[in-house]
Parts: sequence; C-alpha cells; structure tokens
Amino acid sequence: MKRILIISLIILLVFTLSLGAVPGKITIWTSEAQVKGLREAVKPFVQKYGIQVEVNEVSFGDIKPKFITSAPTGEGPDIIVGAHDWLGELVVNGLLLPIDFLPKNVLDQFTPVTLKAMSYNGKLYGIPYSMEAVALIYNKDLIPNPPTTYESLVRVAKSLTKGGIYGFLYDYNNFYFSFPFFSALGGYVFKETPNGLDPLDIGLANEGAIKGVEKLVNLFKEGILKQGVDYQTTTSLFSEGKLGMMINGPWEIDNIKKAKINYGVAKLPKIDGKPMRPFVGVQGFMINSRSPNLAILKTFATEVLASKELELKLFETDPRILARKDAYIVVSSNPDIKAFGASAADGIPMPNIPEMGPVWSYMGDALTLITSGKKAPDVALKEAVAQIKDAIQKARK
Amino acid sequence: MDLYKTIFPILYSIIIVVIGIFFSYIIGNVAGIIWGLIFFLVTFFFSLLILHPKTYPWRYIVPAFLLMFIFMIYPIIYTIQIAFTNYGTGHILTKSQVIEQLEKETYLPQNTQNYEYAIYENGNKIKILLKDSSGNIYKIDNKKLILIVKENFPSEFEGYKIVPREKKFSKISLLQNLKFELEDNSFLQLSDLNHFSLYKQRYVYIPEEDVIIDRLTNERLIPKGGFFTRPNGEKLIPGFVEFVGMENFLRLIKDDRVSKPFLRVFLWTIFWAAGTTLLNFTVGLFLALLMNDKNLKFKGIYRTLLIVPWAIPAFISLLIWVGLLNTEVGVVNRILFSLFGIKIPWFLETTWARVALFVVNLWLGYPYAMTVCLGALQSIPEELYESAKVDGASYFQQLRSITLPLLLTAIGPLLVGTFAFNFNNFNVIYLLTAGKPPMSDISTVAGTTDILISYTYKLAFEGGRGQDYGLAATISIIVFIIIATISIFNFWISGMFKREVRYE
Amino acid sequence: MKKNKLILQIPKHIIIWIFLIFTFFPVAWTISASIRAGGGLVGQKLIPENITLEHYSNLKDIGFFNWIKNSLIVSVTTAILTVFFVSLAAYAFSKFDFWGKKYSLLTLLILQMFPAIMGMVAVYLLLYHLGKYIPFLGLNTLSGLIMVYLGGGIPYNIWLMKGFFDSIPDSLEESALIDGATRFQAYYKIILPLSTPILSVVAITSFIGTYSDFLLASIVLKDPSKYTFAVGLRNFISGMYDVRWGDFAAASILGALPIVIMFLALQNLIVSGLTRGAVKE
Repeated sequence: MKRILIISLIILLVFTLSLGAVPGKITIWTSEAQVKGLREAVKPFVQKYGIQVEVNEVSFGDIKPKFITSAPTGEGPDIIVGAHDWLGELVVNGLLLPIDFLPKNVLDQFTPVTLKAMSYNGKLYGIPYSMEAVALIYNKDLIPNPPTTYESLVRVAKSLTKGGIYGFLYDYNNFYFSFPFFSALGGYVFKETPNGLDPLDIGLANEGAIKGVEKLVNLFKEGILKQGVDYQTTTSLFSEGKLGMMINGPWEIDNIKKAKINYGVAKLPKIDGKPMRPFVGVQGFMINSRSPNLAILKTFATEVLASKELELKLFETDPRILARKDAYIVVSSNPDIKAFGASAADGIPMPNIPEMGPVWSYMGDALTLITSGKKAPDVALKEAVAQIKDAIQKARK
Repeated sequence: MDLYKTIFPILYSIIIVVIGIFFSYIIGNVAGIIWGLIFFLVTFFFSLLILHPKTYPWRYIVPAFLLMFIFMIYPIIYTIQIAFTNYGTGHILTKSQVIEQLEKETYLPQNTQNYEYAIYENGNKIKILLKDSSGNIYKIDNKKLILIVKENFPSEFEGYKIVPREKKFSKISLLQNLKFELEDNSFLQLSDLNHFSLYKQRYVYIPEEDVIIDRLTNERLIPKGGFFTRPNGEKLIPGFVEFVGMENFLRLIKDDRVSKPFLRVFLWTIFWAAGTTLLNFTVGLFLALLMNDKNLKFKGIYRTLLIVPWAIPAFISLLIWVGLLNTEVGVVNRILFSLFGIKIPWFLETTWARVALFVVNLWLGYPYAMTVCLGALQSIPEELYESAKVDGASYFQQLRSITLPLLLTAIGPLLVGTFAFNFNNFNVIYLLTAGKPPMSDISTVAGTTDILISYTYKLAFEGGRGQDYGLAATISIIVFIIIATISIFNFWISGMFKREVRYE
Repeated sequence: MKKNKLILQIPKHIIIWIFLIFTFFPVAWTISASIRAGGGLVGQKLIPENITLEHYSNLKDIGFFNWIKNSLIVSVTTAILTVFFVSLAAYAFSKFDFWGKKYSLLTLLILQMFPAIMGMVAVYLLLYHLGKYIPFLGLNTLSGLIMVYLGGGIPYNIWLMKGFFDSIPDSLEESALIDGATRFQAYYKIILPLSTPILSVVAITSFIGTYSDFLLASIVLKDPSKYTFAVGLRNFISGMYDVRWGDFAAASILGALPIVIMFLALQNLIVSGLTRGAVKE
C-alpha cells in the first residue's frame, strides 16, 4: 500500500500542473446569500463580452482571512464581496485596487455614507452595494407603540418586566450594540479629519460618552437590563415572545418571522432630544490589486457592480438596504427596509482602520466592568481609552 | 529470500532519498535554501539509518518520522522564522512583490488620452489601431503614434484583417498583456475593455541603490522599517516583510501590558492545565473501571452513550453550554433557583467562571480519558489479579498496588500530553469565557480566566496594528519553551525515562 | 451469591446514570434547538412551542450529506494510515534498543506541545507549493488534508501505543523468533493481533480528531463541495450574527451519528478478551 503510494508520487512528479488565478476570466468570492443573485446579475455582461464570470461561495467569515493568505500568492479571486470594516487591513496589506475609475455621475448615485465607509485615507477602495444598522425591534403584541424617547422606553420596559417577561434587553457588553449610547450625546470613536480618521483622538470617554453610558447604567438601576444577558439570550427570548424590545439588526428578521412573532421595527429612541446613532456597516465589492484582469475588471465594475440592476437583483434573494439611492427608492416600500434605512440614516460608519482592533476588546472589557457594577462609567471609560491609545502608540513605534 | 533482504533496504532508502529531494526542493522554495538543505540532510541521514544493519529498527520509524518532519516540524521552523520578522497586517508581501506592485502603479500624464481600438489579425499575429476622441485613427510604429485615416477603422491594414466586434473579446488574454512603449517614458495599455489609455509609470526601482524613485514628485524613497519611505517620513503602503532580529522578543519583555499580569495569568494557566487534566482522567479512569466489569449489564450501551460528548464538535457544545449557564435566563440557574433559590453568577465572577470552565471541560474531555483508560486497562495481565486474589487482597488493595501503578506507566506520557494540550487549550477558553471577567484592579487586556496563550494572542491579534503574526509567532515560541521545560522537568522527576517495565 | 452481586451492581448503575444525565443535559438542548422555529440557540423550554422539522429538511440543501461523505473519506483514511504508521514506529520504540531511541522519544513528546495556531500559514504555503507538482496533494484536496492530519497525529499516538506494546511480554515474540519468524513477521503475526484494544483506541481518537477539526480543514479546503462536516458546520456561525442556529443544531445532531456508530462497532475490540487469553499462555 505504502509503496504503491510512494511510486505513484514519483510518477506524478512528471505531470505537473499549475493552479493560480486565471487570466481572461473573472472569479468572485461571495457568501451564500448573494451567490444566486450575482450569478443572475452578471449574465448580460457575459453575453455582451463573452468573458466568463465564476461566482464561488465562500462563507462570510472565511472570505477575509482566505483572501489575505491567498491573494499574495496569486491564488486569490479577482473580486470579493465584503464588509467595509475589512478595508483598512486589506488596503495596508496592498491587496485592494483603488476605485478611481468610476465616473462622477455614477458615484453621485450612491448614498454618501456608503462611499465614506468604503474609503480609506480619502481614497475609494470598494463599490458599496448595501448597508445595515441596528434599530429597535419590538413585539407588537406586547408593545403596540414603540417608545420614541429614552424616558418612555424606561417607562414601557419597566411596566412590562415581570413574570418571565422582559421589557427591553440587548447584548449590552458588545460595543457594537452599545455604541448608540455613546454617540447620542456626542461620543465618537476616532475624530474625523479631511485625511481620514485620527486614531489618536478618541472620544469614547468625553462628557457626552460618559453621560450616555450613565443612561445605560440607569437601565440596570431601573431593573430593566439584567446581568449576564448576551446576544443569544436576547434573540431566543424574543423569538419565544418573552421580550418586548431589543436592539438588533436586519439579519435577525428572518428568524423572527419563522418564530411567528408579530414584530415591528422603529428608530432607536432619542436621548435628551438627540438621536442614538448606531454604527453603519456597508457591504460591497472589492477588487484584488494583484489580479491579472484589471482592465476587464474596470469595465465589469463600471457596467455591472455599480449598477442599479445588480443591486435590485441581489435584493430579490437577500433583502438589504441598498446603497444606490435610485435602487433604495424602489425597495423602500418594504416597511422593515424602510425602518432600518431610517436608522442607518442617523448612523456613523463603523471605523475601517486597523486601529479599531483594540477598541473592540478594551471597550468590551470596560462595558463588562461598568454593567456588572464593578467600576463607575467615567473611571472605566477613561482607563479604557488610555489603554487603547497606549496600544495604538506601541504598535506605531 | 536473502536477495530480498539485501535489496529491500536499498530500495527503501532510495525511495526515502527521492522523497527527501522532492520535499527539500519544496521546503527550499517556501522557507529558503538553507532549510531545504537541512531537510535533505535529515532524509539522507534517515536513509543511512535504514541501510545500516545496526540501526535496523529505524526502518520501522522512518515513515512516521518523515511525515512528521514535513507536516509538523516544518511548520514549527516556519514559525520560528516568522518570529524574527515583522510579518503581519501591512507587511505580508515580500519586498520584491511590493516593488513589482509599485512599479505597476501609474499616473496619467497631462496629455493623456483614451483611445478606442480595433484588433487586426494575420494568422497568429495581431496589430492594434487606435482612435482618439476626435476620430483620428493611429497606428503605433517605432514608439510613435502615426495618423493613418479618419472616422472609421479600415477593414484591412498592412495585410491584417480586422477582428469583428463580437469576436474582439476572445483575444482578451492577449490584449491585457499588450503594452506599447512611447517616447517620453509613457506607454499605452488596455485601461478597460473598450479603451487603451496613455499612462506613465510612477515608481521605478533602482536595484543598485535599493531605492524607489517617484517620478511624479522626483523623490527618492528608501526602505525603512518595512516600508518605502519618502524624505518627509511618509510611508508608502503596502509595506513588506522584513527581518527585524530580536525586536519582537524585546517588545514582549519590555511591554508592561505583558509583565504586569504575567505572574497571575501564568499561575492560573498551570492550575487550569493540571487541574482539568487530573479531573478528566480521574473521572475517566473511574468510569473505565466501572465499565471494565464483565458482569455489568448494559455496559456496551453505557459506553457508547457516554462517548457522545466527544462525538459533537466542541465548538457547538461550547456554545450550548454558554447558553445553559447564562446567569439570568440560563437553564442551569433556573433549575438551581427553583430548587434552592440561588442564582450563580457563572461568567460574572472569577471563581464561578473557573468552575464553569472545569465542569465544561470535564464534559468535553472525560469520554476521551475513559476510552484511553479502557484500552490501557486491557494491557494489565489478568494473572496479576488472580495471584492477588489468591493472596486475599481486597478490590481496593488490587487497585492501589496493581491497577494504578501499571496504568500510570502506560498513560503517564499521555497525562503530560494532555497537560500540554490544556495548557494551550485556546478553544475552550475563547469560546466559553473569552477570558472574562476582566481584571478590575490592574488595567490590562488580560481577563481572570485568560490562559497564557489566549491572553498573548489577544495582544498579537487584537493589538493596535491588526494582526501581528511576528509577535504571535514569538509568543508561540515562548509558550512552547515554558511548557516544554515544565514537561521535561515532570518527566525527569517521575523518572519515566529510566523505566523499562517488563513483567517477567 | 449471584443475587448479592446484582445488588452490588446497583450503585454502579446509579453512578453511571448520574453521568448519563450530565452527558445528555446539553445534548437534549441541542436537539431542542434543532426542532425549534426562530432565533437563538438555547431556548427557555426544553420542548419548544413551535416545533418544526424544517431544519432537518434544510440539511439537504446546504450540502450536509456531501460534507459527511468528505469527512468520512478523510477520517477513515487518516485513522487507518495513522494506525499503520504509528504501530510500526511504536513497535520499534517498544521492542528494540537502538541508537537515538531516547532522544527521539523525547523529541516526540516535546513536539506535540507546540501551539499549533501559528503553523497554519506554513501548512498553507507548503500545500500550495506541493500542489504545483503533485496536484492531488495540493490545496483544496482531501488527500492533501489527510497528509497534514497524518503528520500531526503521530507523536502523541506513538507514545500511546508504545505504552501498550511495553506491556506485552517479550517471551511471546521470542518464541516466534525461535520458530524462525522474521522480526516483521513477529510484529505482524504476534504483536498486532494482541494489540487490537490499543489499535482501536488510536483509530477512534484519530477518527474523531479529524472528524471534528475545522481549523486545518478550513485553511486547506476552499471549494464548498470539498468541505468536511466540521468546516461546513463552522460556516454557519462564522458570520457575526447572521446565524441559522436551528440548521446548525440539526446538522450537529445528525453529524454526531457516524461517530457513535463507529464507536459502537469498535468498542468490543477495545475491551476484547484477546489479550488476556493470549497472555495467559
């Protein structure tokens, strides 16, 4: 057995074959939800030019790491469908082609926040196709009218919380979901400058941020938020009809529908008259700078990827808030899309620079200490920000 | 038969050498010629061991060792190499890849133009004619554009026939590689499917001086700190992989984020690894002893049912456990509350989080321990028990004086192996507690349930500059040295090397 | 006498039942998640209000059975080849004294302690280059993946098997050698048949180890049609929140079946009486 194996190894030495990216053919990696729509949407291009387009399914979480390992060896795809917060890492690795070839009249069709999200150091590196942001998802059977202010949220949630029913919960130790409390009264992650974000100007412990987080702590004092709640518990309670309201995103709607919950989506309530501004995530197409097909890709990107038709096609199998204004208008008759769209309109693009790494981990820890009552908001936040700055500065050296 | 005896080793060693040459070549490609050479010498040495009659037993070992060398030792070598580089976010391409990429960068000269084009073919050869926006049609000759006609592309040109529009793109692979040099350093290249455009190369690398010239600004960029750097200090992305010597090691030692919580994390890691290993094997052995009873009814069904935790991939059972142990709505706490009126803060308090880790890892690990112990129990000769029975020894006396000592010699090395595994058991920590709760008295990323490897990977992968593989590799090496030292010490103390147990 | 023994066994059964409850507590909730409609993994009630078999019927669409097929190919091959290579080496380490033995054993012991996470990039590059010359061992091939698993499992298992071989009396082998058998025949005809328990243990551990690994497999395999069970399953939860927990739970329940069956088939070999019978002679 072993000898046969070895001998066949030697024979195969002679017949060598090379893998590698294929010139003259476009390869796209995307996650499951977009495969069907993309295959449909590229058909006119394939017919027009006779150039093949292959759409490969790669799971969402694998696309970035696999692209980073394979692109430098020339094994990578021509295009990936990814999230804008990958951008910084991919750009500083030199793996993305700047999108400087799209005409201005095409760019003008996109919602500005999506272009901002897809830019790094002032240059555009991705063609946005959709965006998402969290909003207030509520159970209509428990709460007929969603609260529009923080005070009414407290009142409604408090009266509902009893006997195994909860008024308002969410994954509060996750900075992503708690960011709206920071942003409502003036907190920000990195200061925006004309040259992009300034990673050394962090506004997560400023007056507004601390005030906002105190509002979050108050929800514990009122007995609304409970210890130990995380994403899993929030969603399973909601789909069992035991939760009145949660902060969550459009990805959860499908599950809620399957659980037959009579739900509604509303904007996050206002704090002191100011909107809670969630992080906006933008998905889009990014082009491999080491692709052998750059000329083809430029035409493909202009004619297909940035088109209204493509976005609408993708919407059919995977409803999302579309990035092109003219496409969004078409689909905004869907009430969920409209509500999440309104929430995103208030939002702030999630920072896409690699310095975001320590922010996630330190702010997660700070929130854990604050919500478990081990530290006061101002103390924990100031310490966390000092540590984030320290980590960023050490890495820069 | 004798012929076979002489030919077999020769054939065998030749095969090993051939495989050696092949993999040396590959490893040489990936890790550098020196490693390729070392690998070749090792395989060559193996083949000598096979040939020499005195080292005959190596014939049994070489296949396993060869596999191990290729797929285990080589990655270790690679890791060691990485530890001395800045490999990580922003520095993943080699210097020559970066230069290649930068040399592809272009800028549009002031007189830039987009040209429509037509392809002409004659046999296998093709030519291109270009049309500018005002309808002038040019051919390219001797680095110049020469006007030939206006308005429409001719159907024939210098004996070449025009390729009809619908077939144009079948030549796309060829077209993409065309590059027409013109005077003044500019060139024409396919810019999109329908146009050729005039470009100038922006960056030029000068190998003799190891600098890059930016033609647009006339600056000289020198390689510094893994980047080509402009005179004003601005770095050109992407950066490249560069040898940085001991810098990663120094960074770890100097970093007070590492040194402050180090002792605490280290002690917990030891406690965790030793505790969970002992717990799992004690329970596993206990169950194995129960199952090893010939008279026990349903033992086949029991054994199968009890290995179920092992059959479910750990990442899903861990997620289930996280849900079950939730403080507010978790099932475990709801049961405890209805029975005893208590709610345990599982992942909120350090002590409870650690208890949860031990319990869950017991759930994950005892089926393995049980199976291994069952196998090992079979190696104890029955007659030892029989003679003990004759001497009137009780069950527990037999257990203490026969079963345990003999079993320990068989599974002792496995205990060390499992200890090492748990020492680096990133998965359980990461998925169950993610190191939480955080330490509240020292400001650090380390949580109170973080073990050495999970904590330091946090530094390397969630640190300020994306994914710092260089640092992560350095950490791997240091953790490796620590755990290897502990294990060798363990072994040395228990005298396992001297042991050559035989029952005769 | 007999009755006495039966009574003595009752505590044993009770203890085992306690462990069975501990074992099946999370499993029951996984099953519950697999028949529950809606979001979240761990529900509030063991028996959900909206029961659905949809998650199980979804499995066909997501390629579940193809994953299982790939996993079985990889795991069975790895298990068999591991037993083959390891038993040869362990035999030499146990029954011979030779130059380099002590240090080789020490090397084996220490090697397995290296934290594996970093080696991934190296494995990727190695297979990438390997694939240029031997396509069927390159990236995105099941055979390439098998090779990687084979290399990784060797040290630990050599130690495991050597411990068992050590306990087989040399006298058995010696008598065979006196009868004119070669060393290889002695290994093949005497040692191996006596060692079925440990061979089965190694086969099972490497089978399960490869079956549930996703780290290496997800680096090597790119094409969804080549995914193994663990990689396919992992994909469900690799997105941040957009997770179909029901399908995930259903897949993990069904996916555990091959291991349970495999164990059922091999468990009698683990506790076979062969050894005792032979050693007694």
